[in-house]
Amino acid sequence: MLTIEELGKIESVLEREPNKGELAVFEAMWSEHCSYKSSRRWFHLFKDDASYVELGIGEGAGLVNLGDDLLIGLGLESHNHPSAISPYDGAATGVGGIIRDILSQGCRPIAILDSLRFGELESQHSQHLLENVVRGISFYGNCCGIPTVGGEVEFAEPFENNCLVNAMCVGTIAKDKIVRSSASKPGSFLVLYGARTGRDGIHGVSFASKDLSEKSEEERPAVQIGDPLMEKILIDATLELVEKELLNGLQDLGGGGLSCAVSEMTHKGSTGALIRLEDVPLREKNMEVWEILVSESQERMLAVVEPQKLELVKEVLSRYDLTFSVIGEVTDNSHCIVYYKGNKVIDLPVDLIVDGFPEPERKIEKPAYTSNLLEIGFPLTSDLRKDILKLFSSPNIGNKSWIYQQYDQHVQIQTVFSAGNDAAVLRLDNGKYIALSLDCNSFMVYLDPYHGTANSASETMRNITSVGAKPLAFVDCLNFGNPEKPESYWQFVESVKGLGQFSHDFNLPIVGGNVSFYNESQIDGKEERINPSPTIGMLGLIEDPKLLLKNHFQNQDNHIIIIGETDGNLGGSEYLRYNHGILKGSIPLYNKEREETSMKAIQLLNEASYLESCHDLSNGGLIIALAEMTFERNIGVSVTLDKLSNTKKLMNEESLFSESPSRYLIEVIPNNLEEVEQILRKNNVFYSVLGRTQKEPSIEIEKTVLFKIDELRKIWERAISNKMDGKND
Amino acid sequence: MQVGITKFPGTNNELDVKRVLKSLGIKNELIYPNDVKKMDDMDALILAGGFSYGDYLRPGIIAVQTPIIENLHDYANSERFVIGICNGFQMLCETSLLPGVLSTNTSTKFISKWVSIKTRVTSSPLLKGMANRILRIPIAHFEGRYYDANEEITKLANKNQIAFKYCKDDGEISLEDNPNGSIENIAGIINAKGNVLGMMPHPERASFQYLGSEDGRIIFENLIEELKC
Repeated sequence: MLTIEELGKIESVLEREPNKGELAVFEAMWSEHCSYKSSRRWFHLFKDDASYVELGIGEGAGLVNLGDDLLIGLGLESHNHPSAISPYDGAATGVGGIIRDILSQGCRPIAILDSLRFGELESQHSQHLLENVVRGISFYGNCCGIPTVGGEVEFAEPFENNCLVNAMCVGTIAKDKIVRSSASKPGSFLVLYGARTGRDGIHGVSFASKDLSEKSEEERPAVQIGDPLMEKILIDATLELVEKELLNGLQDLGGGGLSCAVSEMTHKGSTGALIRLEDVPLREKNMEVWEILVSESQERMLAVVEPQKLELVKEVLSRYDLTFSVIGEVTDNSHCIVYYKGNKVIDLPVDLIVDGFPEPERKIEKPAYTSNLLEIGFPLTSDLRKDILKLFSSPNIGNKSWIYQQYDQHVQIQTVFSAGNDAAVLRLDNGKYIALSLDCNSFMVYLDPYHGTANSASETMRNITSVGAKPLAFVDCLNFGNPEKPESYWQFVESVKGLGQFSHDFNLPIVGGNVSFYNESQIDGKEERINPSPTIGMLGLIEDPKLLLKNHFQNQDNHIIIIGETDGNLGGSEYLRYNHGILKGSIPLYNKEREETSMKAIQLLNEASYLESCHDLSNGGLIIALAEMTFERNIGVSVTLDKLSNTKKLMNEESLFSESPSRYLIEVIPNNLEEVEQILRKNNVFYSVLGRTQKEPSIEIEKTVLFKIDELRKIWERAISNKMDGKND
Repeated sequence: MQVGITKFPGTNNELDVKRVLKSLGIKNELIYPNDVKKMDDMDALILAGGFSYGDYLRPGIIAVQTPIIENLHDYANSERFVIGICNGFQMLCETSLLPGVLSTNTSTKFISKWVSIKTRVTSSPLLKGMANRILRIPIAHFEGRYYDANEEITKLANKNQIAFKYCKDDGEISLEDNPNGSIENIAGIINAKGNVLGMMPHPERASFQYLGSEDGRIIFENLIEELKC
């Protein structure tokens, strides 16, 4: 709903009252989802440029040049509200939407990654959501022939009524084929092609721009329905149009539907448009003007085509049996004018639609919970062994194959590392290798949005580093609560500050993204807000295939070294949260120098071919990282914990479970140990030789705690599947 | 020598097969649903996987109503080779060039993962030199559970028409390693003449070293070897 202030602005500019159709356009375009009216004032904090960024924030895909003028397109978007109400269709169309986003720049989609958040997996509701969200992604992405190669999932109570579904799509395009989402040449035709327009997804963006409530179920018609076959044909046809250079501009019809695509493209091109609405192919009778304008029916693209190329475009679209229609022209009068059966029904200045909204005032207030202190009495457990076993059964720690095996990971035959590794790795047509990771730690961000966000982004960077890649750029999806509430807005602002700091510290440009507010709900009068979740999708380049790093122990009798100091702070750790129900206090602080020193050490050692394997430390801390490295090849390990910190005597719980940032595990053969230590000392890298790998398939800690690898792997492997597959028993 | 690769709306593995053939130096063409004449010019045909017509109704059922698949019986009767991979295998069963059906996986979920399959002893030139060979190869399907009546399976076995069975990494065939509930762990079969092969696993996804396995490449190499004869 438009605010009184917004209505006032519209009337004062138009010098008249807007009609019903015009109101629908404003309601869509001035929604939080389309306008970024609460968020964009902070975007100046982000680093958004680099010599290799060909196209930054603002269109469907950010474009990054890998050299040789082969560009990688990146897009990341949320589909949270629809997935909460209708998980299967919501998730499927989330994938469809992000594919079309990168297609809008002409990219061939080559990979999908998903970031999912649900309530605790014990909850039947969460199981239902997980089951259907995964099925929706699987159904849609698989059918489109795009591999889903990675992602993440988190389970925690604050997501019980507000699940998060973020989808990332990655594509490739040659530099000379780029298509922009703008309509720059008056006289060009506007060609709408793909699916017909129906009533699904009406007011989708408005629905996404308010809190969920018990009544949200009634908004099911606001959820779009996907048709992946149509999407696949749309992709094939669009790639041919791009290859033949027949398009002068292209944008998908997503949030806000036709009204958004027309106004954004003309706004970018400093033009206007004249639309004949009766020429929009419909699949339902008696649709009203406003419904046609804001319908979010899926699988539709709007192309800008110069007159001399129109026949060629029609030929291609006809050959693919796609419905298309010339619905209007680009004009030079800076207005969006819509006729319906001869009557002028919309006449609005493009600038007003896209950029004319008054920025609402937002208040900031630090929430009281952030002042709660964490006081721990050690020992936390009388049975460390049992405590460790319990941690492996956390769905946040456990194996995610129940999810990713439902996704086609190998189509397009470029997948070198799929899900289950620190980052996905793809080999491109031209022989280059890229790494991709999509990640977030919402617990850390909740406790300290500034440091938590910077650390969480650093973790994504460590994932990229652990496979031997150099980070290049990233996209973000900022999932937060209601920005009209000062505490929620504080979380957002702090988080953006942390992300901005990180992007400048590491010279990593943000090339695209999305903000999803209003992930809150009122259930029985109780306010429920998600953990703030700034999801980061990062791209890395592996310059030489020889640099590709494995994340699992390769051989027995090798040395295991931890890079980076363990500060022992357990705040925000999965161990405290899952095993002991504690989520409060301060978290390990973001430290640029440490993060950089550790990353550079890995890169240096890798370039000198000293690393047999490498794995970053994250959720669950050292014990989880160690065990994960043993699982694939059943190679055991024996470690001591006495040198993890220079500054503090650590308790066992702190050594094993702290999630201090900036840390990696590396595996080094005995012959190289001396030189590796020399390099580390020379570069002032904090490190400690923990122990050796061994033939015996067990994990030994300080010679006292002992696990068979099998014993841990079984628990780890079943952490998700036993709840999901067991539920029908 | 030319190999045709079928491309229906929703087919999505055609470029992968194309890349493998290209790496083997083989001329190839995409064959669209109405390209009957072009199809007849091809020395062999590969029905690539994907979701032809969205797998709507059931996998392969719409594709087999198209002119090229209606022409496929004549094509196969002319002794030319036809390989159906995944959705292509589903089409071959749907149009009865191969016996049996492919139904929904027992897990009722899509399954994408690396598996091992063991090549059985057959007389098909497509599997020449492969007897008992174990291949590391990806599967990716929702409807890959091969089924036929017991007596038909016995006939298949007796006539050496079972091409591949899901197995352990060391070749042992056990129920535990059956990913989808296929009867007798069957992953692929051939026709009596040995010129039509259908398989659920994707040999094109195991055809380059960087993918972690080149085990699937031999099937394409055998095909080319035969075409050269």
